[in-house]
Amino acid sequence: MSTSIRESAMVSPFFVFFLVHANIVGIGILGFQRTIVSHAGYDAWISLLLAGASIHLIIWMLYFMLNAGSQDLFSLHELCFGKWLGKLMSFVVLIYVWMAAFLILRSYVSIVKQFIFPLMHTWSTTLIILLLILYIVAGGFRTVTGVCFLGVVIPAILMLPLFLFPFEYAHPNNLFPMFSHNLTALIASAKDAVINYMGFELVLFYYPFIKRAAHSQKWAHAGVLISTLLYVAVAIVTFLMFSHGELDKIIWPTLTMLKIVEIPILQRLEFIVISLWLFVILPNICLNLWGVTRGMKQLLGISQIRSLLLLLISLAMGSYLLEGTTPLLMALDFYGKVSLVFIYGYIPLLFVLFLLWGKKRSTARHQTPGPETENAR
Amino acid sequence: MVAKRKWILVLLIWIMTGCSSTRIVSEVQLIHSLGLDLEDQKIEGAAITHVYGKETTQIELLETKSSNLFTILPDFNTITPSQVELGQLRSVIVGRKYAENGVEALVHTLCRDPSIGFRLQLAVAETKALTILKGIRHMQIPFFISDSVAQNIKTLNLPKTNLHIFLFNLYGEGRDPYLPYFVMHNDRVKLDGLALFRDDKFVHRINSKESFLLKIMVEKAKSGQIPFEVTIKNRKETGMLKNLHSHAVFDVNMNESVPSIRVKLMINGQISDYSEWLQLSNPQVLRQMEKELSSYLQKEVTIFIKHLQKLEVDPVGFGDLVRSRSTSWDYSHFKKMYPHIKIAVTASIKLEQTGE
Repeated sequence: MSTSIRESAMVSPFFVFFLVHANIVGIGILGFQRTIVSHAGYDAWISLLLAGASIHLIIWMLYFMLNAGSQDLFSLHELCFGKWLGKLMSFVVLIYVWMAAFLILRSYVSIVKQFIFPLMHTWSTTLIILLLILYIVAGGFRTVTGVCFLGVVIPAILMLPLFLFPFEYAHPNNLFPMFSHNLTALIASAKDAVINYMGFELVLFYYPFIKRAAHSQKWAHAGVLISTLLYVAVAIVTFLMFSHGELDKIIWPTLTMLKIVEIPILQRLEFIVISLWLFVILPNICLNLWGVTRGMKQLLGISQIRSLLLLLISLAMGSYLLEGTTPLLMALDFYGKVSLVFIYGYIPLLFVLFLLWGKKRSTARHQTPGPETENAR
Repeated sequence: MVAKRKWILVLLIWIMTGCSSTRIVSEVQLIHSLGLDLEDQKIEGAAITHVYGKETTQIELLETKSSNLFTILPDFNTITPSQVELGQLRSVIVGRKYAENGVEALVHTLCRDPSIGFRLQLAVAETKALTILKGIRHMQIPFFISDSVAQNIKTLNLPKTNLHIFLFNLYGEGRDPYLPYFVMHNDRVKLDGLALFRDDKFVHRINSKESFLLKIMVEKAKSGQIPFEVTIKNRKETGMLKNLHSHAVFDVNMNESVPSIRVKLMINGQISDYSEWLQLSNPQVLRQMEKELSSYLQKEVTIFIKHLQKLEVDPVGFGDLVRSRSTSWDYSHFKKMYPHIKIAVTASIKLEQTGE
């Protein structure tokens, strides 16, 4: 079921950079430093590079499959697994994507609660954000892309204080002795770091919406590269500023680094940062939800606005049920494990299956004329 | 119809943000300074806060007593009509006895509290924090501790310090923290030297002169002054050396079983007042003066470091230096080794603008 999409619903290949970058960088960058140092210590920035390199490989695999004619996740699944099993697998992936959106939303709300409004209920903050998400996702893929663009540009102004002010407290000695950890430790830390790179896999959903999609591959790689470099830079600044023991005691190192910034008119920068961070997590949630609505339309034929409303209700319900930090951390941990399996197990498996017989089928199918047309939002 | 619905949405969002918890400045009790003392196994808490009147604002001292650190703050609420807020907390001062018992629990609480900034100043009081806070109430200067610490870092001998630096030194391996030390002096609160810690426990107080020696070793200092006494042209000369900017370089030699460290201090300084007979405008005399001052400082720093090694405290972070250059690092092993490592000091002072 290859489909064609109206050109007015598509975006230029260049925007893939923003789609990839905005979706990789999210809530994780506020506190990833503490988890990655548990194995590789202050050599963990190497692990970030390793993880980034592996993501490049996965992106290459994805594009290889998509360029070879599979178009998106659903047709790819059908090619590899056949009609019914393919649909089932697509459905499982949809749940996984929904879970990512939910956890990002829930984590953000928990930060807002922790730092700004300790007495506020989870559901009230969630509801406000959900209304905004409704507005964006209902606008269709181009609107979501626009939010991705803003999600990269607006937080960029935060980078200046983040990289400038901590240098007053920088201790270059912290990074030494360099390369003192063996490869096993580095890989173990890279494994912990990978969850921060999640979000690029959404290319499986929006690929058909890219004009001259095959040309967008370099932009996808650029998005991963810039994200990797950003993570490494933030990690190094953190390592320079905090001693290892101190980092262990801090929950959100990036926010804490901003706590030290002193600006005459503003005593505490982190309030601004947390508020602005909404622009960083919005693309994550919106693109994930858009992906799910698109999937439900492909699989079950539900109109996207209806499934969107359904999803928002499920998010609100989920937020209401998942109260408290401990279950959230458990859920995040679970998601981390699942995403590891998804990236390093499932995608390579698909790749192998695709090489074995999917490619043949896809070329066979392309020879049969008359693709169905559909209206996509 | 659709437009109307959108407006209702916008309105809803506004109403909902209004529902959140509000904390209006004039309706909460903002704590500016917190003092903690240990007395008969109980913790005495004291807090400096503002009371906003119609015409004047007054500084008030809240006092409470508890067996547990974590109940001190809730206890303040029981003695004030409005809710106590820590968002404006600028300093925490602990009594000497409290500091001797360890401050880890306290600073860990502070670093976990999102409403507390990392530029908060910590300090140690001689002998009780309460007497210092009483002095501050008497002077009616609410931010006395944080302001005087900031001022002394900028203009005098205090090394840079705040909650972050304390945590960095406390939790970082191969370092020990230090804090400003406050005493009462003729009814006035006075900043007097530094309190040195071993791990999280107060062990020793150093004076302002030693504080200068520490300052030039832990940072690129742009201030500070030290009294000196040198013999030049067979005459004794005393005066004050003012630091304009200093720079310290550490060389670590790891080849032997016990590492040795060479400290190179470079100071650009100034002597503003000196005796008539000493003609510093003469380049030859100036060179000689620089040489004499260098050897004086070298001697002082060497004595100071020996003293630190004897006390087994490491505020300079020699351990961290060794750690950053060793392939295998064992902190407890280093701790045993620390008093015996060889630390050599060289100082070179360059005098500028000698006041003529």
